[in-house]
Amino acid sequence: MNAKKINITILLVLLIGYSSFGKINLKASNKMILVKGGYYCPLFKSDNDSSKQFIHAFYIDQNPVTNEEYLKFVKANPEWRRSMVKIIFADANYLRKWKSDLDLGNEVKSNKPVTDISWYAANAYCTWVGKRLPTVAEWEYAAEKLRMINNSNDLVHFYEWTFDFNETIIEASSICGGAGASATNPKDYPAFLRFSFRNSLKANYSMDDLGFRCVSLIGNE
Amino acid sequence: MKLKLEPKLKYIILIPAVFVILLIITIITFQINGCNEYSNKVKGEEYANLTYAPEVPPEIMRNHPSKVIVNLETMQVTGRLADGVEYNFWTFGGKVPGEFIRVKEGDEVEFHLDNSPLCTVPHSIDLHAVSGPGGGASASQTVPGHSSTFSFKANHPGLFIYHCATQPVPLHIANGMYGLIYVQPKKPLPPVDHEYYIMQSEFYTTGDYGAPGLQDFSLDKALAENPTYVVFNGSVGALSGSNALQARVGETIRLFVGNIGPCLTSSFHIIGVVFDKVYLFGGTNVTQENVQTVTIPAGGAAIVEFKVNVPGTYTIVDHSIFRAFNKGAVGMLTVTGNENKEIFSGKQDDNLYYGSEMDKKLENNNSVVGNTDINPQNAKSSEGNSNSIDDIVAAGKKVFMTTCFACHQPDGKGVPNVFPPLAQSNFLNADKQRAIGIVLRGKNGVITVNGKQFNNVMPAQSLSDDQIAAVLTYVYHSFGNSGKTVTKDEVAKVRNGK
Repeated sequence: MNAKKINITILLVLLIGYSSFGKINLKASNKMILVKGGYYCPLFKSDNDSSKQFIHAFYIDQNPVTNEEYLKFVKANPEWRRSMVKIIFADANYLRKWKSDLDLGNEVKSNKPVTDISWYAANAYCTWVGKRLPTVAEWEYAAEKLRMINNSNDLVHFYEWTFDFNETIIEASSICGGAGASATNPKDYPAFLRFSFRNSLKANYSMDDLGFRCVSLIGNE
Repeated sequence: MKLKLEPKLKYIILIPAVFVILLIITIITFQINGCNEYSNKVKGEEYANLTYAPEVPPEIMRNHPSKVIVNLETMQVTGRLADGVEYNFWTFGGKVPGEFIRVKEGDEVEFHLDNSPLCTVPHSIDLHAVSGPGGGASASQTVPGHSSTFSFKANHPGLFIYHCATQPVPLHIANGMYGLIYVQPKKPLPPVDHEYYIMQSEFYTTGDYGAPGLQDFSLDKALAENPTYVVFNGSVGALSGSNALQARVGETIRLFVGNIGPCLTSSFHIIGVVFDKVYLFGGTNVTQENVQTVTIPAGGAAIVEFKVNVPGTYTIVDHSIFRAFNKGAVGMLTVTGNENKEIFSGKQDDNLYYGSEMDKKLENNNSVVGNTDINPQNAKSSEGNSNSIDDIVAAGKKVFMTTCFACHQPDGKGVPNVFPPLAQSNFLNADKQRAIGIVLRGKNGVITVNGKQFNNVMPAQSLSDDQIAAVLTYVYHSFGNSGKTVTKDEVAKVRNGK
């Protein structure tokens, strides 16, 4: 049951102002940043959750994983090459902009975030590098602490997978009436956009504006 | 012979009788199952005919429900909100409002929601015609580059809103994701000459109304429910000028009107039109006849029917009138054809009007003057010509202080640049006949008095000859004027003269 639930509900995507990434030095993309522990207020919570949730300290990739980094992964793991991947792990859009299995082509820049990758692929990558995907709570907490999110009305979005991307069930039907009422900050429209995006995904979806980054915990946890 | 003839006769009678019976059965059968009779059995399959506002798909003529396939694509497009103003619209079908969907009561609707790969966010659809959780919202939740399918039975006839129901819903609605679906009743509404689709909605922009350039959504204005724009069919002017609705005199019109809000209730009105029939809230019954203004809640609709009898331009407004005048909620219906003066004459006359206050003063003046001994007329009739000039001046002053003082002022000096002076007036003193004529008939246009130009209107005065004689004598004997006397006969001469 638990495994099934994880299987079904794992994942995430976060929406980030793409422009905010532009300001980050992508050459240092594999550098990790310490996020100190602290309290995080989830946008949505069930009746059993406390309004605040303690987040242990962790390291997070300063930038999303790049095409160049992901290329190393598929070279080392043939089952994740475009021609080899199983459709249940990545849909037909998987790495669709790459020229071929191991050639980025001219359109795709090696130092830009890799997109068109499924949750399964992102998860496999993280495992391969000895890290894991951030949870929604970790991602949102880090975004807040590191000011990763562009909260302006900029409609150009970039999303990132999270480990438990669709665990916060905000069904469209519940959204329509009372989503705002059950949210801790009903004015946080960018957060609503991120949560609804995550919630619309399935783990094999591969999309143009959807990438990921990894986290690693401190100590043995 | 007889034996041979009788069977023939039997056949002659029997054959027509059988024929008549068959005919009667056919007629009865036809009346029961005839072409006007609606079958509840779903037959056939077809694609829904979708139209962009203000067009409405044609009436569905079939007499049975069908499987109807609807394909609607969600798209994000930059477009015109007003002249020089652009907005990043989120749409059903590439325009605001979304395409009009027409199905028939009992239809099985197979709905395909296609989210364009160019969209940046997931979309969905909540059709108010659907009985089921979210009106299809969760069933149609779709990320960019994907397509969702769900089906529903159109059991409720009427006019319904549809809108996107993806988080955050208010943003998706505010950005333009809405339209109308009409579930045509089994028994269709009476035929009309025109059917049109009008959708009212609001836009909340960071810039003020008319501020040029690409405008962002303003969450602050939206939370305050203070829209920058209130429009019909997605933009300012979408129903005006060359986009105006068209009809000819004598034609009947049915409007399918929706209001998505997202905040305001519409006071839908057409200037110069009385709605013959209103299907309030878009339901199936005529709820009221002869209606001026229809309230349409946010997320609601109405159907109105009317006939146009007189040519001209009819202005469609939200009669919460500042929205029409200052926020864009204006459309137009242009009616061509022959005038009908019996129904509407147009302007028949244009006269000067002195105001109801002035009328009262005149009445008072007449009664006062008429009952006093110093009225020149009474004085003459009772005392011959013994009326002193002082009495006439006194009577004239009464007339002046009720009729003339408001403009020319009690001291006769007038108001600079507006009302010319009577005091020491070269214009007045130069020509007595002219002065009498002006009091009798009024005066407008440019005159020069004591070297200053005045351009205003003095109305003709409803005064008797006696009163005019008195008031002019008073004026000539006052304010440093020439001291002339004006007689009743002089006034009568001018009155009858030209």
